[in-house]
Order: sequence, then C-alpha cells, then structure tokens
Amino acid sequence: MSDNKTTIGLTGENKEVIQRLLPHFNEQRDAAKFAMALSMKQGHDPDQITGTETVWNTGSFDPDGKLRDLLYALYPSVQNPYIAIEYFVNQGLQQLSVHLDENRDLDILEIIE
Amino acid sequence: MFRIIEIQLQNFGPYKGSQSIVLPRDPGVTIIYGENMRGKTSLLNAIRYALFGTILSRGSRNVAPKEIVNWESQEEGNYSFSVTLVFESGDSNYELTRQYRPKKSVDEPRTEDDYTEEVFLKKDGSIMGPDDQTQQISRVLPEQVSRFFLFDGELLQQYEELLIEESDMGRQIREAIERILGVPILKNGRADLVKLLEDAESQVSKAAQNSQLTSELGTQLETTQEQKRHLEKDLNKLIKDKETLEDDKIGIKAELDKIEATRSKIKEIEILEEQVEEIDSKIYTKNEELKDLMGHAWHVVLMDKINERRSILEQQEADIQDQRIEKSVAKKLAERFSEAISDETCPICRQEIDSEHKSHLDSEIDNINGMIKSDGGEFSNNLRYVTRAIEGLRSMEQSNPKMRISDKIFEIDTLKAEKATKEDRIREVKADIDTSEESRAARLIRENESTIGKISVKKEAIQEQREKVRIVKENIENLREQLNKVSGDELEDEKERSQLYQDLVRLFDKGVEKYRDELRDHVEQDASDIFVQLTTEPEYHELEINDNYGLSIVHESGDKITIRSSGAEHVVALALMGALQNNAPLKGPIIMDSPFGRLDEGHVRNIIETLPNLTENIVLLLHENELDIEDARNILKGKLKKEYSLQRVTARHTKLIAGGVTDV
Repeated sequence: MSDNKTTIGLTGENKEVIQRLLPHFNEQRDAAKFAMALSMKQGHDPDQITGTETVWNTGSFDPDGKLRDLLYALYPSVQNPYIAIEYFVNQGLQQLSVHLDENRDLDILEIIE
Repeated sequence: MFRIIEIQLQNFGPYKGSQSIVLPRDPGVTIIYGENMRGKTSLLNAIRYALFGTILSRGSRNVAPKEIVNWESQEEGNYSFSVTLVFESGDSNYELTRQYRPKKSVDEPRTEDDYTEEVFLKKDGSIMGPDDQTQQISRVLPEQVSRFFLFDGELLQQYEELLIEESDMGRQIREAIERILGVPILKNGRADLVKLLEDAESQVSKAAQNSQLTSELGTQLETTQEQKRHLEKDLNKLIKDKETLEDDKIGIKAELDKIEATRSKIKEIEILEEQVEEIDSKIYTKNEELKDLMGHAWHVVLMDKINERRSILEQQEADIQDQRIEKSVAKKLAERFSEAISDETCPICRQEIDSEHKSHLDSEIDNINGMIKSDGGEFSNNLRYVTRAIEGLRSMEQSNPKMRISDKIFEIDTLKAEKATKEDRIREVKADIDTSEESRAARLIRENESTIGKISVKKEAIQEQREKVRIVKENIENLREQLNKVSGDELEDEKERSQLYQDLVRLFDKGVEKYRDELRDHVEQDASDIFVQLTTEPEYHELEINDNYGLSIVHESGDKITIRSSGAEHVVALALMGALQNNAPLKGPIIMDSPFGRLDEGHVRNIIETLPNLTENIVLLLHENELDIEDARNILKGKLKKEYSLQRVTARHTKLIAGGVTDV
C-alpha cells in the first residue's frame, strides 16, 4: 500500500460545480468529500483521473487519515488511496452537477436517504 | 332646550333609501328595538354625523365616512349618503343636513379624497351661512359635551378621561362643560376688569411723572408696568400656543384614530417584517449548524456501503479466527504424533505403535507442518488488516449524523414555510393598504411625536415666564409702596381708581372660584342623588367630584372606590349626564345606545324608573335581551311615548318600522 500521492485536484469544470455547492458547506473540502461519497455509493470502481489542477494537499484534505483508511477498508486492492479519492471527488462532482441542474438546488435528503 | 324632532336618513349605513324617525314632542321615552347588527349604533352615529361630521366605531375610533354608504346602494352605483336632523333649540326651528357624496369629476370613488361633504342649516326656514352654521351648531350642542347626550354604552372608557388630571381630552371636556355651565361669562368679566386695572395703573404712573416729587418713581413704575404687560402678553401667548398644541395633539389623535385601520395594517406589516427578520436570523443560524453537520455528510452517504463492507470484513475476521483455531489444533495434534512416535506407544490406548503406523504419523506430521508454514505470515497480516478496517468502519458508524442532518433540514424547512406564510400575509396586507393613507399615517405619527415635544418645551417656557412675571409684579408692588410714601395725598384719584379695579379683579377671581366650586358642588350633589337612585349597591354612599368634573364613587366607610366595574362606570356616567342636564343652561335629549348591556336587572329597573326625570327627550336603542318590551311598558307606563323596531330586509338593509316589536 502506497501513500505517495500528495495532492488532490479538480478539473476546471468541477471547480465551477463546487462553487455551486458551497452555500451548503462551510468549505470546498466538505463539498468535495460529499461528492466523493456519492460517487463511491453509486458503486463506481476506483480509478484515476487526469487533467486536474491541485486544490488541496492530502495533509489538509485528510488530516487524520480517516479517508485513506476508509479507502483501504473499502477497496483492499487500492494501492494509492489519494489517487482513488481524487477520482471519486471529480466523478461525484459530475453527478452533483447533473443533480443541481435537475433540482435547481442541492436536495440533501434525497442524496443521504 | 335642544329637542330632536325628526331624523331623516338617506343610504346611511344599513338604512337604504330614504327613511326617518319622528320623535314625540311630549316629554317621555322613545324605545327603538333592534337585534345586533341591525343599525342601532348607526342611528346614534347618524345624529353625531349630522351635528359634527364624525362617526365613531365601537372602539371609539373615528370611522371614515366612505365606509358608511349603504353597501347595496353602492353596488347599485349610488355612493352618496345624507342625514337630516330636524330640531328645535330655544324658540327656533332648525333643519340640519349633512351630505356626503362623490366629487363631480369622480365616477367611482375609491378614497376619501374622491368625496366631498356639504352642510346646510336652515333656521326658521332661512339657510344660514357656513360660519353661522358652525357657530350655531356648537351653541346648540358643543361636540365636546355631546358624549353626555349621545351616549354609547360601549364607549364608557371616555368618561374615565375626566378622572385623569393631566389628560388633554379631560381638559377639553372640562372646558366644554364649563362653557355650557356658564363659567366663561364670569371669566370674560374678569378679563375686562384686568384691562381696566392696567389702564388705571398706567394713569397712576403717568400722573406721578407730572410731579417733581414722584417723577422718577412714576417713570420707573410705567417702565415696569410696560415690562409686566409685555411679559404677560408673552405668557398668554405661550399658554395659548400650548393649548393650541394640545388641541392639535387631540386633532392628530383623532386623525390617527380615523386611519386606525391603516395604522394597524402598517403596524401589522412592521410586526410581520420583524418576525420575518427573526425567522431569517433563525434560518441563518440553523443553516450554519447544518453546514457544520454537512462536513460529516459523506459518512452518511457511505453508511450503507460501510455497513456492507464491515459485514464482509467481520465474516473474514471470523473465517481467519476459525483458521487460526484449526491451525492451533493441528499443531497440537502434530506435537502429540511426535510424542507417540518418540514413545512408540499410543497415548490413548497405550498399545505399541508399529513401523507402518509410525510412517503414517510421520506423513501426517509433515502435512500439518506444511499447512502451518504455508501462509508465510500472510495469515497474521490479513487479520491485522481486517481488524483495523473493521475498527475504522465502526468508528464511522458511531459518528453518523444522519438524524441530526434530517432534523436540521426539517427545522429549516418549517421556518421557511413559516416565513413564506408571513410574507404572503405582508403582500396581502400591503395590497389592502391605501397608499395615500400609509404616508399620511406615517406623517401623523411624526407630527404627534413632534407636537408632544413642543408641548413639553412650551410648558417649561411658561414656568420660566411665570417666574419673570412674579418678579416684575413684586417690583411694581415695591415701586407702588415707595410712591405712596413719597406722594402723600397727591395722585389720590388715580390711586383710588386703581385700588377699586384691583378689588374688583380680586372679587371676580373669588367669584369665578366660588361659582365654579358651587357648580361643582351642585353637579356633585345632583350626580350623587341620581347615583344613589340608580345603584343597587347600598354601601355606595355618594359621588365625589374632581376639578375636571370626574366622579369617583365613595363607599359608606369614606373610602373611594379606585377600580370600578364597567357596570359602575355606566351608572356613574348616567349620573353625570343627569347632573349636567340639571345644572347647565343647555338642556337636550339623551340618546343611549345599548345602555343596559353591562347592567344587571336591578340596575336596569332603577335606570328605567329614573330616566324620565333626567331630561324630557329620551331615546333608547335596545335589543330585547337588554330589556323586555313588556317590562319596559310596565315600568314606564305613560312615559313610554313611542316605539320603533329595526326590521331586517337583508344583511345590508334595515327598515325602520314605527310601532313596538309585538305590533310589527
């Protein structure tokens, strides 16, 4: 198991999506984690994404390493959890973009139910 | 004697079309019966409107005349109403008409500005000019004392104003009562004498200036007198200004009352807007709390997945533990096999083990060792991974904020719904507000506050000015004494004249006081007599009057009853009306709306028996629950002169029917 990825980034498009989510969160990081969880819940397999621009370093994104441990627990085959996390964050933001277009606003209950 | 002969109504309130009431000329009582909402208060208002142009609601508030136009006639396109009062006062006959109609340029009136009011007063058949009309009406019945003649049982709180020493309304009523009781005649006489005294004093100082001995003192006296005149003039102006401001304040209050509906709507909007602000603030706080919770929302989203994974891992953990036990058992078995080979004896049956069995046991031992060694540490690593992963996942389950997020969203949604309801109401009320009245109300509120401030400034200025007058009067007195010493017998005529006027002013001062005191004593005595006849409480001994003609009930113990019931208030008000009728040069009808609503049977009987003694012309507007018609006939007998009933045609149309209820 290797932790050698040190940053998490967003695609240009997802930077805009996260701005739309911001009224519901204290900070972008919380929205990103929410998006990541949605993507994981949908059953997507871990992957990696290209074309992102760094937004967080992994130390600030996952200060207590909980996410990393979660990735290891959920996906034993994952070698670098932060690569997978970056993928899930961006993938989830895409889903939320569709959700926002359909609902005009974030329907939290619909997502957490 | 002011006596109403006929009331003619045209589309006034529920009285659609032209209708009239003719009152008997003989002294006695007229009863007009009507159920609730048939128009009894409207009849009282019709008289009030004809005389003063005002209409009062149940809450003592002025009602806009446009609200009074008969609804059905309005729907038929007729927006006018009028009231004609035929009455006699002194030796003359009068016909007073007040008409309210849309301005000629307006087809469909909407606001008060779209209407105009016209008043016509005929005296003995000749139409009077506008100024004469107003003067004549205020002579017949000053508006400020009309409450003692046009009596609304529901407006009893007005009479308590007279008990409040500092009340502006109380001052106005007291002045009006004194006016009809004749006090101003003496006051005017005193004012004339003061003027004559000033002239006489001026002559003293002028005469003193002609003598060498007294010239200097005379000049000083004249200067000081002049100073006093200026100071008094300023003082009078200040007092007048203050009174004008107080009258303005009452006027503003009346205006504010007129647009009370708009004011209360504005107030409602203000309150609603404040509530919306409060809700916004709560929503903001709850949103902030929700945002904090949303920092953990990813746990919630993944919870199912986490649970599922945890179950799998727990199963794996159990499998690993099973394997671990299996290996441990196998290891123990291999050890026992080794012991058996070494001892060449079976540890269970104690028989010797032959070489064939030894070889078999060796082979089993090899198999077991092979199995134990085969995982190469992976076994332990797997267990560590699984155990750690399970612990991690369990810790996430414990911090699941799903319920708190759902609750918070529910709380926010509830607040948003509440806010939307209030905003709807704001829109509704705003749409209902006459915008011209909205700005008028705001202006009047500002004016009211400004007037209160000005009155306070004037009061301080009056106090200062009174002190200045007192000092200058002292100076004059000193100069006069010096002049008396120096002048000897000179200026005798002037001094005598001055002294005479001084004595006369004092006499009038005392006279006004004495007359006032006697009037008050008479009013107090008469009111007490009437009160004792009316009240059913034998321990209530008398009434005590204050400077404002407010009456307090005195218990036989001598204690004043400080808090009195509305029933007692009612009886006291009637007693005052009767006493004023007895003592005022002006005598008039008593018209009472719902007079017995708050009274018990004993009081009603007492009042009915006493009423015909109060004045000649009495009209009672009643509903049957207040007084049974047969009881009224039995008590009043020949003093009951006429009966009318108010008959419903529709909810918006009442017919006046001559004759008693049973006759209809």
